Amino acid sequence: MAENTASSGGDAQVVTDRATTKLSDLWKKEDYWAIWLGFLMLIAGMFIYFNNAPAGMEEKIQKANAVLAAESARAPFKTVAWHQAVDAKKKLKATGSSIGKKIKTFTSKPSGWSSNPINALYLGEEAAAAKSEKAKPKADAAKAAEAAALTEAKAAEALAASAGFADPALNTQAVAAIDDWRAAHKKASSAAKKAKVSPYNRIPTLIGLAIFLAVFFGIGMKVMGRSFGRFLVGFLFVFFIAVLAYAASSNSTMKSYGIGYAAWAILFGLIVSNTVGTPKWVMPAVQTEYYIKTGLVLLGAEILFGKILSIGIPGIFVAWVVTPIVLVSTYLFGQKIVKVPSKTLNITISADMSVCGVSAAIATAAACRAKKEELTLAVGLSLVFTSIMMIVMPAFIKAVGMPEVLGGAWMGGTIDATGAVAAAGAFLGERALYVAATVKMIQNVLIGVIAFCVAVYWCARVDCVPGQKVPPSEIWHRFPKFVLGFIGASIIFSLLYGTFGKDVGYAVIEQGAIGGMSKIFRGWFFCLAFVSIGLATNFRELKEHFRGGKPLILYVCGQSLNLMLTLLMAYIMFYKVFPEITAGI
Amino acid sequence: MNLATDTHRICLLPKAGGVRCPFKPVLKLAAAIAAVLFFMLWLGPKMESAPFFQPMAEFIEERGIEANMYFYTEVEAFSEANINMDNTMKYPPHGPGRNGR
Repeated sequence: MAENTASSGGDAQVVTDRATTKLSDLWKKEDYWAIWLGFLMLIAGMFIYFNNAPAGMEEKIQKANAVLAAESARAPFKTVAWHQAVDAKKKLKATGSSIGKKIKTFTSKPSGWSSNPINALYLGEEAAAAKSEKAKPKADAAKAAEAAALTEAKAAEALAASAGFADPALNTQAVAAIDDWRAAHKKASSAAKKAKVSPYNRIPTLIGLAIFLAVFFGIGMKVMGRSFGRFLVGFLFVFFIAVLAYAASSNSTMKSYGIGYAAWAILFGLIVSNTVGTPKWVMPAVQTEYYIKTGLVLLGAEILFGKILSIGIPGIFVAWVVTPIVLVSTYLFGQKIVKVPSKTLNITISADMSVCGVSAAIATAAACRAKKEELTLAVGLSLVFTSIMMIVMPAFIKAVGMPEVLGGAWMGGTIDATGAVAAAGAFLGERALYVAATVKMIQNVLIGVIAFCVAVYWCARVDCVPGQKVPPSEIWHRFPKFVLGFIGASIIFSLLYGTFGKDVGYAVIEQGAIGGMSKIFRGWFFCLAFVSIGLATNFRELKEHFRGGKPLILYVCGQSLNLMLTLLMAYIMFYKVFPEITAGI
Repeated sequence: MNLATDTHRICLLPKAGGVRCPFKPVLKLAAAIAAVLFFMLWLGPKMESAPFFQPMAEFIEERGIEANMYFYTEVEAFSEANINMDNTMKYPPHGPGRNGR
């Protein structure tokens, strides 16, 4: 805890920063409450999903792995059976258990809609049946196309096998036919989902979730000395705006633009606060940091260090070498050349642009205690450039004839938002998607390290008198303690993931404790935080931070460097140093 | 007509006569909501059908990609890509006649 004390000494008044730590901080400070609440959820998630692993999981994994081992030795390319074995492993999900489905229903966000906003919350039986009926012909056609593509792929593979896989032309034909089948398979899966529409009414579960979350956070508020009742009343309003934000982000057009719940939550909050004004009775529940910090502890569990080797050394170089270089360069550029007045704004934009957009901005802003307007600005910049890059980059890559793997690595390392990387990568091709997604995921994992380093740097170097040497005890006092929960959750889940192995880890951690608990609640907590930011922000204050367009200049210059370095590194790593890895993708 | 006392007129004018208008905040809110709905239900879909954007929009819709999500655990395509890549690294095809694919 840091306290500012003023003392008079002659004419001068000196302000000193005195940090103290008390035992009562454990239950009086929101940093610790974020850790307790976050870990409570994670422990509940582990308990539920580790005890509800898919039936026959071990046997199914062994069987699939035996097929994979045999097929990888049999052919010089990924065969049909190889892909089918991977598909079998993909189906193993602890979230598919009955309790997993109940949790999913209880925590459901507003559903997707296109022209009728009511469909975000309610869909009657007739409307659901009509939707299914409408999508059925397309689904049937896609299914038939998939079956035809599979037959062709099998035939092409058999032909290549009959030549002992010694004929390069036949091998190439088989690979092309298998690629076509995989594309048809994806199309058919998506079409089948659209043809299976069930009626729903989200309103009762959303009311239940609102009460649950109000009590969940309210207990902490009460222990921290605030009014539980006043928090509860205000929370219902904040939650209502969060539901609207999720409903807006579920619109099919907004999905295409890459405009997610964070942008809508800020916008809706801003609209309320800058028109009719945020009602006073809502303010006790406008707790940006409380929600963000708890969400970040949950996010820690999703940062699995075992992922960083998913694509071997090239991925490390593209995501873990280029990214910190760009981050530090952009920060220094912002300080020395652009002269961004706020260091916290500078580092938040730098992290947002170089790492992975909104999630990196949230973690960095919380670690350096940036102002809410600064986080808003960083999120806004990221949103605009993500939408542009998602369209322009695949078009450019196709136009210049860049190889898919290189293009995928380039997009994965540079496009901010994770969802946009998936869209741009898949648009380019399956290989581009695999590489783009893997590079981005490795970059996502970097958030933990960056948040920790920023928190330490800020305590030791930035939040102190120039030239002053800050002793380790002082760094500890000032250190944002929730970061420990964030890092701790990451270490624990990474160790569990490593112990279980990737296959079991996928079934019970990724598609269990993370997918069925952490991911869901973290999304709600961040959404509540962004609503709170909007409700407490004035347009004039926001404008002040954008003065001279410096944040924009910083972003554009940093992103330009990012684009150049990432492309160069991806080319060197994937085509010069490790071409065998590229060939196997 | 007296602008200072006619609330109905004053509300349409900024700071008219320095008199505080009780409806102005509500009008601002209504205008903001109208702007959001205009973008979401008219301008957005119009822009979506522009030639430079349509292929990507259709692709996202067809494949059901969560293009507006922020972290890799939220995007189904990442999960698929990751499991595929893991198995590619663990079981790389190395059979006879390997031709670089």
